[in-house]
Amino acid sequence: MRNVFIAVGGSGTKVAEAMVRLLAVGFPTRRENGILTSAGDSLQIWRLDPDRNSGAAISLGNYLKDYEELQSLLNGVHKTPGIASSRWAMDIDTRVRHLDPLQLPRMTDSDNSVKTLEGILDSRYGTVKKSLPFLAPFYERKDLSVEIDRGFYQKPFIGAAVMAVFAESLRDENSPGGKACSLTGFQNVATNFFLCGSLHGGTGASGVPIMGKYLGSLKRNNQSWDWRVGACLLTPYCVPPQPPFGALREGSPTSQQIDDLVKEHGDKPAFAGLTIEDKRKLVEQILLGFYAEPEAMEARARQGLAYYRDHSADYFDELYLAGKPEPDKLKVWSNGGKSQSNPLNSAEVVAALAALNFFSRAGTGSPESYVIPSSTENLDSEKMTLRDLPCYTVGEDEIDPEKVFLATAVMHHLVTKQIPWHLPAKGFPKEIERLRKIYQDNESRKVDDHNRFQSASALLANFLMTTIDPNPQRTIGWSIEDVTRVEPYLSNDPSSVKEITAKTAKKFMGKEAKGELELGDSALRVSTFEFGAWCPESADFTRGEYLRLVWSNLLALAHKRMRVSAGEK
Amino acid sequence: MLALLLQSSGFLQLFIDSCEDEGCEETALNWVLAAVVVAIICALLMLGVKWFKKYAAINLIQKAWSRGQTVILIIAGLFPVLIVLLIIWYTTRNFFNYVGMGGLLKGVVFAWLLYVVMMFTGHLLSPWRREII
Repeated sequence: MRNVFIAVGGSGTKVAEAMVRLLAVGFPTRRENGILTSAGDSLQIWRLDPDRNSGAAISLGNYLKDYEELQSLLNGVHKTPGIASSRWAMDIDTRVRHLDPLQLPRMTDSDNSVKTLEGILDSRYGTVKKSLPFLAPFYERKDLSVEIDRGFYQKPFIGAAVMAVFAESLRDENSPGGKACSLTGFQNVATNFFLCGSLHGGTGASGVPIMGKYLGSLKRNNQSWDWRVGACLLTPYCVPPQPPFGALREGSPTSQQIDDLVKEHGDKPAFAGLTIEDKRKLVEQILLGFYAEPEAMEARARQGLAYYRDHSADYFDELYLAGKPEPDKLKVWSNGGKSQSNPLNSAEVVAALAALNFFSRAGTGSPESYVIPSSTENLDSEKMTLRDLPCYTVGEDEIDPEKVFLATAVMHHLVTKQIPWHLPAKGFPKEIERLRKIYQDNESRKVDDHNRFQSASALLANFLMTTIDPNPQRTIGWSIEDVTRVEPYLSNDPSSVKEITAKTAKKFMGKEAKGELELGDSALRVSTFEFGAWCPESADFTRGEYLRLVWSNLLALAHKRMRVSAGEK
Repeated sequence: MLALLLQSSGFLQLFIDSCEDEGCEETALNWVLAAVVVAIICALLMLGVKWFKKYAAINLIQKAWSRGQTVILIIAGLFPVLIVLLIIWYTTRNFFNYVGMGGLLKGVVFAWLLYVVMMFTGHLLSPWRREII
């Protein structure tokens, strides 16, 4: 199945990052030959944001690089350029399509060249006549002249106008946006389009409904294409701190005021990396009130929801809503650009799970009704655990994120610590016979596989840990509980290895493992002898295929354990 | 063939220091037979130890034996061969009197060789061959 994730604005980009991490960790979207996997599906990421070089975009790029490296380590010999592919996880096109809503069609070089609302809407593009007289009743002078190449400063009324022009431009395959999307390539191809952005921001709040409406209307007019359009809207889940100084109550700032404030605040993190001219512009923006106002977020989200209810919801096959009862408080203020580099929020992981649910074509509820989302009863949204995350479905199977993390962590331990890699393959015991048969005449393949498994496992461990580690440099909104329980499975520390080895040891009489491997409410019981028997049937399997089989069997054991526990109760 | 070799007087003379009294060849034969029996029992014992350790292995790492581990096991088996032969030699008057120190050493070396050959053969004739070659 072909999937397109359209990340709108900074929040959408962070959700795209969360989804890349979850796919790397092993979250499935389909079942193939009895194995839960995401391999075989493909994903393109489109990023709709005027802020091309935001911190979130850089972070997404870094995780895509890691994903590509992971996939190449787990791949066989075939590799398509630009596509991170192996049989471990979904093929991701690591070339993010940047859809810049400010890159609009031009007849001449001067069209749409000034990146302000006035510059775009009054650009007199082609035969379009001057539109400033029509804009004046709707916008203040300062709204029309503020530079919008770093986002829409949580002002959807600015973003909506630009996004509408941009969506219209997509109809033309030769426009910058049309070229980047290349939607003709999706005609007659079953595709899941999933949009994600904030409900309360500027870019997200204006971009998601307009792009959704555009794709939804294309879908309606071409039913045979088998497109699905879904979206996840993020309600206020984190609030930025106040800017270094406040906006003017009225009027425009003087040059002297700007200079004084640049002198006073120019060394603060929000101004890092800016030229003196950019610092002056930023000071002016703040003084004019073009920044995210935490107090207004909730009201904007409410208005956004009402808009979806009245005008937009019908264009979507599924709409998800993710948020937090109490938004997390960000520590560093930024007005976009590279300095806006927020750590991954647990709410963004929840939104990424919504995307996976949509990609698995599970369907939530009936199209005629709402499904009221819920969290666990005692959820502390500042200290979430994996068991607080929502489950989603793949076919008949319920995917519990906690069990997925457990299965991946145990797989990491088993593959790196419980296969006698140090011995010649011919010396492998009969309990691991299939691997022995494959490697015994090809010792170099064994050595190569071992090295690549080690490197891939290190990357996997990084994906696992950085997704839930409550270190404020990495994430927000997680409890320390899960990370401390996952760590021993990934550790090379002899005492941790010994402890897990003891649990995966089989009983003297019988084949069952001695102990249970646990994470939160999830547990599984596996002996290394059971693990040794898991190997793909064909001899030319890729490393990714092998890991996926092991992982799928471990997840099945975790589910089996759950059913046994439920039976015991 | 082995029986003929064992019974040949030239071969038996090797294992005895003094053969002035009547019946010394019989003593030498007994000493050689003792060495053979001890070597066989120790080889079987050590193969049994290995089988049990593999049977009782609780994970794949324990179940997999490297060549080094196998060699160490074989070397470890040399000690019981030595100890048992020493005890037999010391507690049997004829052996002590006629076989002497030289015969003891030769008997021990012979038993060791036989034990090592049997250990190798045992491995070669079983699925454990991958752990030694």
